[in-house]
Amino acid sequence: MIYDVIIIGSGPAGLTAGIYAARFGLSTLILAGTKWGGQLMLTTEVENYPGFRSIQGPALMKNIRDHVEALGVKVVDLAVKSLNISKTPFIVTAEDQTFEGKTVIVATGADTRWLGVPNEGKLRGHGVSSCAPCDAFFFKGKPVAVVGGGDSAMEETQVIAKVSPDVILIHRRDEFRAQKAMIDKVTAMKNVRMLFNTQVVDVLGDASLTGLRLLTDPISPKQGVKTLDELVATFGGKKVSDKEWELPRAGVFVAIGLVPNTQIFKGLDVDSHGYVKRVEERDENGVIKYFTKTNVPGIFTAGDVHDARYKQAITAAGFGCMAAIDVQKWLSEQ
Amino acid sequence: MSDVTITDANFDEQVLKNDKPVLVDFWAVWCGPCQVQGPIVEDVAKTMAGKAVIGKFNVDENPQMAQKYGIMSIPTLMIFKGGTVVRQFIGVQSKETLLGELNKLTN
Repeated sequence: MIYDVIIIGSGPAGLTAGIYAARFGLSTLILAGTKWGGQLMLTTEVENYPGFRSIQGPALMKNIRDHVEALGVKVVDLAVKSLNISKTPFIVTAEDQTFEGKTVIVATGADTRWLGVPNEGKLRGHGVSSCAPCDAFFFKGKPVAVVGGGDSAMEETQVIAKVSPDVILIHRRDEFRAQKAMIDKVTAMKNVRMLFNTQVVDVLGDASLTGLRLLTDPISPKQGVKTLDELVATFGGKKVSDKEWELPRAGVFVAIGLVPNTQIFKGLDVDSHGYVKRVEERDENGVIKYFTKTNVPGIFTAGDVHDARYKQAITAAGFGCMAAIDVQKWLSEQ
Repeated sequence: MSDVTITDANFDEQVLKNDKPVLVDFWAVWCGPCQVQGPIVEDVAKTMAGKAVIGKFNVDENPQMAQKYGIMSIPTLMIFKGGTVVRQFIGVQSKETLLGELNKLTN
């Protein structure tokens, strides 16, 4: 069969697009990927999704999936390998199956940006993690670090600080960019210390993580010390050069940002960071006609895969809604 | 056949002394991604019935082997053959990936 719309991705963007598409009466397929649900599956409490004062991220996603499935939309947990845009209907290959769609909504989201340091690959899953809610259990009573300065770094810190007596939040700049409410929560935790102007240059250890190699330059006035020797002594590390030092840690949680999942899409325009480019279309009066179009007619985009700015569950859901409305209009004009 | 429950107590017999390849899914109830991996593993168990053993190992209830194998992130999936780990995955894996690896060991 040829679907009216194939939605690639099953986070808030993809599933919301599915809800709207189904209610427009469009035949809709959602290719959910092997890790359905997206980034919220790696979180705990979500406290900023309207209608829910506090809800577990995975529970919220389960609710949204139940909602779209109840509308009769097929959600298939297959990983998409390719999207053929050279002819219509578009052909989407997911594992060993192919699907045809008149339109496609690309809502593949974004995944953890890793540190990119030499020993990281070897130690991932052995002390290097991107998911405190998943892995905190293994670090009970152990010293850990969190790397990053945004909302997700604050969330990871809050989660891990419930089980670790000694958490060091490492940020490469002198100021965090997270929401103030989240910074305040973390700052109030007695077992959390901050290291500013500090980069992780490598992770250390053989079978499992034993420490981090750090580069601190210049020393932030907030640290309350003047020299690297003093800083290293405060944090209990070992100086290895003028600016570099080693800090013993059993775990490190990486929260330095995201990489949009666009590697599989050939022919779809992306920006220099890999985010899908939207190509807005306006009518003769300058009013927006299509907000979520890409460079390929019939292919639309929604959520974090194209959005490096807002990155919220609710904005992703909003974009998903917009993409479905655009698809419906686009199909009606063909 | 469906998946089997592997514990510290039966690890030796079910995993290490098994003639067939054994896929072990290290998981816990509080782990969101593990809830995603679970049904995939059950599906793999059905497909590989008779050719490989597919087991689930709760890291909360069985600290010894989780520690022995250095599990510090879940889901972790390990494939054992002849008592040793031949393949290891961190994070949720697709049915296709797991079947591909198991088939390499059974053919």
